[in-house]
Amino acid sequence: MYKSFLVIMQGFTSVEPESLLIKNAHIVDAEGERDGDILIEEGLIKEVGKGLNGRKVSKVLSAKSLVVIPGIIDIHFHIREGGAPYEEDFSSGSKAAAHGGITSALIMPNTNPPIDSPEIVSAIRERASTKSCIRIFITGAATRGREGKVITEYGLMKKEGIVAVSDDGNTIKSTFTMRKCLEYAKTFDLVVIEHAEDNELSGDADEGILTIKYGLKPYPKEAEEIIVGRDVTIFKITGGKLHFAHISSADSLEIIKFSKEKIKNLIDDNNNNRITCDVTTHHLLISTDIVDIKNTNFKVNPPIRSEENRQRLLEFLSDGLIDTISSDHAPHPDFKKFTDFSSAPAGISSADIFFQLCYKLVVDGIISLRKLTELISYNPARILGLKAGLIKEGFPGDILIFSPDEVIEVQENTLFSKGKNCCYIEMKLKGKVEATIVNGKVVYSAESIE
Amino acid sequence: MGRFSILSIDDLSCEDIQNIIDISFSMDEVLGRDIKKIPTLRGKVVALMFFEPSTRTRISFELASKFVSADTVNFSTAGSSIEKGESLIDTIRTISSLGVDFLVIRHNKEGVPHIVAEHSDISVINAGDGKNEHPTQALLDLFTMMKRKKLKSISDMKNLSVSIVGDILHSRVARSNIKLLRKLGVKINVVSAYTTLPQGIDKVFDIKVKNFIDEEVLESDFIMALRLQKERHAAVFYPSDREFNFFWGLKEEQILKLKDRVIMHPGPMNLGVEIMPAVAYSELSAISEQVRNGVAVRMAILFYIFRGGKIGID
Repeated sequence: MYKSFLVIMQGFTSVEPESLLIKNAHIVDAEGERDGDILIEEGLIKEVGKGLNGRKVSKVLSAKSLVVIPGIIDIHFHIREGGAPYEEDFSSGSKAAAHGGITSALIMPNTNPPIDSPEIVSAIRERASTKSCIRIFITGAATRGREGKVITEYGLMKKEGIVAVSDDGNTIKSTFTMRKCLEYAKTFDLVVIEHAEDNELSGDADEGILTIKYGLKPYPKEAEEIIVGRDVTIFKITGGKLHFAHISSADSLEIIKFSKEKIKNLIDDNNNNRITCDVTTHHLLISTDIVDIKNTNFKVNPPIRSEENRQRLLEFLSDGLIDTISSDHAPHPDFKKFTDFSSAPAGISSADIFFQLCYKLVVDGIISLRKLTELISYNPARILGLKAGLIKEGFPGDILIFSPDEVIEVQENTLFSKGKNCCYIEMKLKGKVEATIVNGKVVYSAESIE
Repeated sequence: MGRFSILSIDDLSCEDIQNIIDISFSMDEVLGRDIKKIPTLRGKVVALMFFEPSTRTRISFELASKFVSADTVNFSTAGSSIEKGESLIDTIRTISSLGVDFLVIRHNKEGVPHIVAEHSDISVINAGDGKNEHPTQALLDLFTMMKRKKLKSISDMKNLSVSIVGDILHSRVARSNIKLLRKLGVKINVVSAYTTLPQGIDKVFDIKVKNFIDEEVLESDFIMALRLQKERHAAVFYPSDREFNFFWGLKEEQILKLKDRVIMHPGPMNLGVEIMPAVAYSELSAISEQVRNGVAVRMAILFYIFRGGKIGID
């Protein structure tokens, strides 16, 4: 029915398929660790093994003493293509992503205008196909204008290239509309991504130490839990593929855990019914203990939560309840962030250092590297229904090569993103990205590997 | 409840159905005559109570009544005692006291004809109650199918298949057709997005559910498009006409290459939405036959009720 369906499942990128041989790699992916060479031909992994020769390939990379993992698939990414000149576009956003080890990004539709019609999806696809050095996957708005009233043309938008629908930035407020979104998305086998926020309860900072000390408008984590609870209840009627974006509350995860148990009998052979979720790196790494309200780069939606909550998120991460880690890369120009905490737009620019932020979880001993690659490559591919996320024959030649012990220092001038609203400036992080490969082509490399 | 009423397909036995079809063939012959009138119901009064807008069903019943020589009286809510605050049941009692013999009723609430029949001794014919049933439409659809396939006995229907495409959730036509056709053992596919598909309908009626028009649907003997009922619901079930048409509309490139299929639609059609004009007016289309057959079947129903559920034509 969808003539370009296979193309859609490869994402949209300007990178033409190339051939490449990576020698002496220490390979880690969700299926385990091994040493060997990786031969990529015409953008696809042709062979993984020892002593491969690359007579047919023009380029050979040596990965000696480096680690090679699948490229990151980031399920929550903001590019504001078509916006003002200071807004992130496909060119700057994809370079930032490649810098941070991301080879595929699912972009959100809360742009201006929103991605809510097949015509806009088509325009976005064309721009991604000419400007982006990573694979772009598109999320369509779940309702027209993201207003929560009228469902958009999921079928025609899918024909043009969307893989999911969401009103990200808004919760689909009407329970009836949410039901219809889930049902209509199920008809076309699309994932519904919910931004869970009861906007009557939400505010600017986690309800607790910051709101008590500074009087900021409270945004209790319950504002998220209420919607998560509501949605998993609606899901009991509809089934489908429901994904919760940027979960910040450990209690939301308790609800999701309970629901995952409950819906086990709904799961069919085709895996048509499932609930998944992502948590961002900033909710896993930062707590209100270090939030400085004079630094609006800490302002994000949902807000940074308490240390106690963060510790519980980490437990859920190692228990496997969190399906994937996202960047929620949300670039904003300096002049918009240069204001007081409550007036500042929410969002953190993090694509450029996304791999290092994720790798910190390994460095800190929270999860193994194998588990990390499952979380940032294998699982997101499964959520979106892509054959990707493993270093294996027949999979896309999307690879990340890094030096585990080399330390980088985050500096504004090292960010490719137009958004310098990064709360990690001056932080030292382990795991330097040496090369990011998309479709068999090196799209980012540190000087040392060339 | 007083006399024989037709409220739901559930109330009809296979014998009733066969009898109504048999009489319909006779009435169809009457409609072909120069003078389309038989005297059977002379002196009887049929009240047409349409609490919801209708053109074809009301005119169809009115003509059917006249062709069997019954007198008709039209009742509309505008300017009626209902508007003055009289309850539905009291209105029905009043009409009953005025000497009406048959009450043809359409209402936007499910079950109204059943309540009316319960509280009066008139014969009630359900001409569509909300999203529940439209039994005379199902009977005329069956009659149309049998005429097209040159069948006389309803038992010959069991080898055939019907696909019903569109908004099943809000469709009384779909419900009555499914009930009637399943009684006869017809294989049924319903084709709809999940937004307009009652959950569990496959198990309740033992039918097949599909999201899209596929090969199996195109292989059915009859493909019935349903009206996208824009007046009944906001755009939360389908986003746009063009999307509905793209995925669920009966289009010339799919349909016109088919052989021996029959395309049906209960009307009124949204041309270019659930059905393209080229399909609606094609050789495969039985849509105008459905309208004509509606009169014959409703004549047969009035006749059959008048005879107290016994067969035999003068």
